[in-house]
Amino acid sequence: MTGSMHGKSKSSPTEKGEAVSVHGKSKISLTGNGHAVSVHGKSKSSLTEKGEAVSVHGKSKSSLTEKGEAVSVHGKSKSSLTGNGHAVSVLGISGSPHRHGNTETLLDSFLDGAKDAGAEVEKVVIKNLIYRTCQGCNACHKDGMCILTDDFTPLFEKILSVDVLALASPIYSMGITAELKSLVDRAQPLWARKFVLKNLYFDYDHIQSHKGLFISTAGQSWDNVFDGAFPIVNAFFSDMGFEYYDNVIANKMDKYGGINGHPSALDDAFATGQKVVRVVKKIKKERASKKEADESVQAPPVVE
Amino acid sequence: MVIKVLAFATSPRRHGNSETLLDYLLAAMGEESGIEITKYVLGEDIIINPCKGCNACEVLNRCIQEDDDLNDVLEEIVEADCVVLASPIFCMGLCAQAKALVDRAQVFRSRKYVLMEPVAPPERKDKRIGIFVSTAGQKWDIVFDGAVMSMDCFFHVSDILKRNMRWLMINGVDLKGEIEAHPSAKDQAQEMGAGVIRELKQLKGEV
Repeated sequence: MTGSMHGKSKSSPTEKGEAVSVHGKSKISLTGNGHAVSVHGKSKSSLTEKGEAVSVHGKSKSSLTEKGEAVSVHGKSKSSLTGNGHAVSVLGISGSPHRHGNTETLLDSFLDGAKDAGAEVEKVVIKNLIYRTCQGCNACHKDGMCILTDDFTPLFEKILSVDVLALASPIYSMGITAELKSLVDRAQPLWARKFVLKNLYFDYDHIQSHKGLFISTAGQSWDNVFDGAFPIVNAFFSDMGFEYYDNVIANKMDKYGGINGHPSALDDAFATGQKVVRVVKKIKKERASKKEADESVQAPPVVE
Repeated sequence: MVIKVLAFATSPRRHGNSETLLDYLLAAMGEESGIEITKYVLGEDIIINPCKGCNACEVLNRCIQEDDDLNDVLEEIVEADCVVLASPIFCMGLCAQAKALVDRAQVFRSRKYVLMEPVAPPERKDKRIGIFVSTAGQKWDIVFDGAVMSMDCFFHVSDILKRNMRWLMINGVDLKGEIEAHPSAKDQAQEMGAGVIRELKQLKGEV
């Protein structure tokens, strides 16, 4: 008897459209035109928590931001995050599928601290978005553009427009969640522009003034429980032109019975939120006064 | 007795480097007699959505998401003598598609550590082998480290012992088809495929 190799496959080795997606087969379409395969079956209009389509920055039809939550306030001025003077903009992205669990609560505390220090703060919850995973097609290696257009498209624009980026994910199986990994994998066009097409370059000044933080919780008590996540987060910040500034991480969630039972994590997160905003503000201030003295300051980032 | 091999190709790119490496391995296994190989391409043959983090599996002993193939796949994993997962490295980790399957193995973790039930029957626990097949464009030595940690978890909760985990990982292959030109990848895959089947036959007392 010889071994048989079968693949239960409706799919033949010859391509029949690369409709490969983690989120496939759900209500909307896999077979379709390559758009909008829904994870959670939400419609495009309900990106905001309250289901309103709010245009905050005049870029997207609908804001990705959650409105009406304690932490997700747009600060004093409606104008813009990229904004005026030394205002510091902070974007928190929650990659947890579990709403208001340990990780998101820790992120909220960080964003509260940032807001307390005067930053304009936003929170995006990936669970609420409609997106597809990277298709591995490498089309972006040719033109730096992703073939997919979905809720991640404006999110990447937003990421590139803020001063501070907080990526939050619980640890699942020694890594970040599949949700956050979906976002990270979709950063490939930026990577391609930097290293294949070489038409994107973040100079030192840009990287120094853009801070990235990783916010995470883990049930396990092992010291190495975050080690698998760090290089992924590092790669993402590097692609996006952010300095990997700090971690706000807490393990032993199982032992403490959740983040609220942790002796110091929430306070640490709040303090780190305050600190990073102060640091970026200071850099911006120094830049501004230097600019006044010397008018030739490089514009970040250099895009051809 | 038939030896069951269950393999997952998780890359979004069909017939790219990681899947080709997997195919080398499976072909070598298929040369042996009495081997039943099942290969699933994620997103085509089976659909696996991400974990919702609801922890319902701690009570249900299965996943609450019934609109994809996960629950069936988990039972096939238990039945398999050899579980193979192939993933490319994207941004220093498993691709999101593979990570979804790994995260959903939370059902096994709940079964083991909350419900205190075995995943594989105790008499089979030390007779199962897990293989991680991976390729990475980067040449760095550390490029697989994050993925290995996650796969170690996946195999562990699937009741595959540490000493029975095998790693077939080739770095420095990026462009589609580059694996074919790699000096040793095919040989390594064939060697591992034949070797693992030999080991499994020994473990199952057939040799």
